[in-house]
Amino acid sequence: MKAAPPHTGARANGWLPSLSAMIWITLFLGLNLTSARIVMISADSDPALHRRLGEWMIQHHAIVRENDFLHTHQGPYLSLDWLGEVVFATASNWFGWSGFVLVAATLIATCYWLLHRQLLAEGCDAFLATVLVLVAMLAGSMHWLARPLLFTQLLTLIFAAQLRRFQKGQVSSLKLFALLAPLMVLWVNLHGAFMIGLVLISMYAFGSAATAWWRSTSYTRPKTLFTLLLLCFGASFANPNGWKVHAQILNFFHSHEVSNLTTEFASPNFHTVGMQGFLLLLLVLGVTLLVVRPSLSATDVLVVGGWGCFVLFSARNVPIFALVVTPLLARWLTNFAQNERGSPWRQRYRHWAGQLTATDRASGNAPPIAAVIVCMLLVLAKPQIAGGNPVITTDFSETRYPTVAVAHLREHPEIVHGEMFNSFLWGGYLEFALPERRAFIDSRAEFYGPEVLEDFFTVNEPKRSWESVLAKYNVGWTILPVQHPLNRILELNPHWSLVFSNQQAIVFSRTS
Amino acid sequence: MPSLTQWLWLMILLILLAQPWRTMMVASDGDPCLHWRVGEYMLETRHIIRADVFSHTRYGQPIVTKEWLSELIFALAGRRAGLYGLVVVATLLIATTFAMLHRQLLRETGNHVVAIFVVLLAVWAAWTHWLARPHAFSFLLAALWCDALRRFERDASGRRLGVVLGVLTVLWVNLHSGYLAGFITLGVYWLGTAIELIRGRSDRNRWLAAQQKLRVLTGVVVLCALVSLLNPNGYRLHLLNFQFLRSDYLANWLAEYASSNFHEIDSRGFLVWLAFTFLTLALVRPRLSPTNGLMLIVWTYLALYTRRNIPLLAIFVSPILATALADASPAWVRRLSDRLGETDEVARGGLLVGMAAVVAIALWPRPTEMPAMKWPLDAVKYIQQHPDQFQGNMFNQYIWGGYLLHALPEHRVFVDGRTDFYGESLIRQYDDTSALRTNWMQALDEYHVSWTLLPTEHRLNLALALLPNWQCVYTNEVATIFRKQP
Repeated sequence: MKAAPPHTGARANGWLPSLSAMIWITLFLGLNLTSARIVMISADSDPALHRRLGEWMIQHHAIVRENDFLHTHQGPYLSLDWLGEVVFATASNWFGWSGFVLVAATLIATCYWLLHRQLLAEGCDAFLATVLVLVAMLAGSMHWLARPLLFTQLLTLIFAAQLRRFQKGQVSSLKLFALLAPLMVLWVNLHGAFMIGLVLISMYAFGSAATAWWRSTSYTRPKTLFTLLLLCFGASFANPNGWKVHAQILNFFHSHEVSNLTTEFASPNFHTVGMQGFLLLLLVLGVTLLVVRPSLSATDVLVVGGWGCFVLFSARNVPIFALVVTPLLARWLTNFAQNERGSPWRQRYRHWAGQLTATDRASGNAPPIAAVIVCMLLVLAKPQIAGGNPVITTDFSETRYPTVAVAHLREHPEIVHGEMFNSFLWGGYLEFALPERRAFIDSRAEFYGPEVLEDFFTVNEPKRSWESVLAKYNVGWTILPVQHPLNRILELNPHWSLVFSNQQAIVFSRTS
Repeated sequence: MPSLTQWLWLMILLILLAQPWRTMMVASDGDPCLHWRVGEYMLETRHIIRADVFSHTRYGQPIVTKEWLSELIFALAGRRAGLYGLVVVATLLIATTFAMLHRQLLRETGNHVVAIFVVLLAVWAAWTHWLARPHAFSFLLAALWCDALRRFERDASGRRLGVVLGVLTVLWVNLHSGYLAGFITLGVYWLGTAIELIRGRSDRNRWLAAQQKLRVLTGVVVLCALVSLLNPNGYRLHLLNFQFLRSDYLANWLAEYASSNFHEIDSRGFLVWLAFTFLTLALVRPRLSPTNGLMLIVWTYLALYTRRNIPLLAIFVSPILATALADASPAWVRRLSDRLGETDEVARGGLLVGMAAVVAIALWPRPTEMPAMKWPLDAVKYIQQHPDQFQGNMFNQYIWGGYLLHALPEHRVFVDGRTDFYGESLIRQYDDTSALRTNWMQALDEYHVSWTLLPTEHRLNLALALLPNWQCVYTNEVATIFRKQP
């Protein structure tokens, strides 16, 4: 790919935000100040679960090693995201849920800001880079949730960029090792999806080995990448649980009952609005392959094909696909646009895009972003600085979570006895909002395993033996969404009585 | 010796006639029985069905028969050989579709290796939706439709295109509602030609050729639209289809309209097909015409959106990918193809294959039944043995509806696979009751339901067991019957 056109004499203005900075500021403010912040914490109840775990670790100055949040399964617990949870919990200790959103918004904004910067640095013009980043944002937005997985998205971007730079000879082996191995240590402690880094390195290693074999050239680069793979694999053991983390992740994917339960591990449902961005990205990719007809290296084929396959298996890989494929798309489209034999349209585009890129280079990145961060921190810290109510309040959606029911249970703890049966979606929320009670289930399916899951399904469906499962776990009360089928059974059952009901939740208690 | 095409046809036929495929083709859902029953009714009354007689929820309401002709064909086969007859019809249609596709690929690529490779991938991708239902006619018609359009691309013979597509449209609108796939494809060809027209402005000959093609295609679109009204319901057929497609609720509710679940083994063929498409584009880098490029994008999107479109994707896109692959095939593949071609040229096995097929169809052990592990065969027997106990209206499992129409013709069902006929409001009512939502009793009261026939593990049984005026009168591992006390 050729370098972007040189400066055309645009005057530098550090305070005028560049396109990258505008992407950062728009995302950061949009996620922090609009209703998106509620969606980010309440699309599922994992943010609450992570906050609860993080707060526990901060309180006890220790990593969670025993689980005591569920009554159905206790025992040794492997925390896959302990550092991510501590970071999120620290921010929430300062600013409540707004702090939680602040961390998530910063990670998302930085991710797409960095992607834009990478595309520009790799020779893409500012217009094309912006359009492609917007498409990647649309695709990735289906998984913008305030959870430690956002660290994975950022780290994937950094790994992929460094591997591309190494492939082009822009970074030495030593620098690559020095950067990616420590980042792998960070990754394995921040989020359980650190394997993505290892998969990416493998793709580049096998891709360059195939190219070296095909062209009968030196194997130095593939050897370096395989060494890096070994090094990062070794580095991934630098976590509080060592090899057990790897074993747990492999177990999770091995157990179909467990991985099939988690919606985000399901194949993409193209009927949903959330998948329209991914479809748009696929359309851009398809049109590029058909019209531009780029020459793909073995690594490109592995990266696009491999991540395409992973996405079809699991919708949660869509943001990763977007982050690793967009730079390749940018390279192919830039080569196409810069082709000297192109039509007059392409010449006109080059001229116009060159001017835009020069203006963009003269604009600022750090000063406007720093100014926005300071302002946001001041807004969030208003109660600490000036007292009074916070300017921005963020909490779980009352229409989606049993907030009123939980308040009622805290006021009248005597209305229920024994253990709880809860809906899968509410597990993390109840662990956070009702810490004195233990939940039946939450989203950590890899922790409690298939037996608890099967029991949960028997009651959740409900099937014939639902009563024996509830007896097995000494369940004395249920808290479920109004339309849950078990509520109808309990309404008719003389051994259960209604103790709370509103538009969101119904609480039944066993009478005998 | 038979040719490769004849081998392919025979192999598909024999595999589908064998177990477990034979049973899967009729017992994957209740629709094969439903279509047989509707066809049987039309044979008995010697009229096309105009009003519902099978359900108590929509009894007497006007019905738009989308598949009357194929239902008659299936019913005739069913009369002759029971469920096995349905399997034979579907098997012949599917085997013929892919044999024709193979001939088409051979004709277009001249490469025997590529043709058989691509058609086998197409078979693998498409097999997820091989059921003994009227949509099997759509496969064959799609292959013929695609062949006619690709011939037109090569020789620009407008008259032949008009005649072939006109006849196919008349057949298609009477055989299956999948005729919309033909119109989508025709629209893509029209759009692709329009793009060629715009791109060819600098080259007068190219521009004139594109203009002529566009004129022909416009005429064919109009002709097909007009002849599509030659069905018992005229324009109402189109209205019903559009209403159904506009309902997001129904599209999300019906399992076969869902996107593929790639965790299932059934979707592996489609996954391999997608990988094959990507590798062909990435490595072969074919120079496709706008029409072929659009066909690839549109049908891949439709197959990703709804898995029931996967067979149509394989049929419409195979020639595009096969041509690209043949152009780029290395010398050893061409040599192998020539060798296969030599054998194929002297192949005269048509009679042998025909005889083998007749022998297989006629002598194959026929018993084809709905499996008792999944379908309420014993419960149906119980109902038939105790007719006095089951006087009022039934509430049944959706997927069992078609089977019950066929097995219990003396009773009217609550719902069956004719989702578009029942409409969104009734399906929602059914779903509310079935999912035990707060208004679950409403449908039972409104439709005066006095007995239910549901899978034993169904949650509604648990609720009915707690009601004093409902009593379980029959239960086994598969089905449970509850009856309301008078």
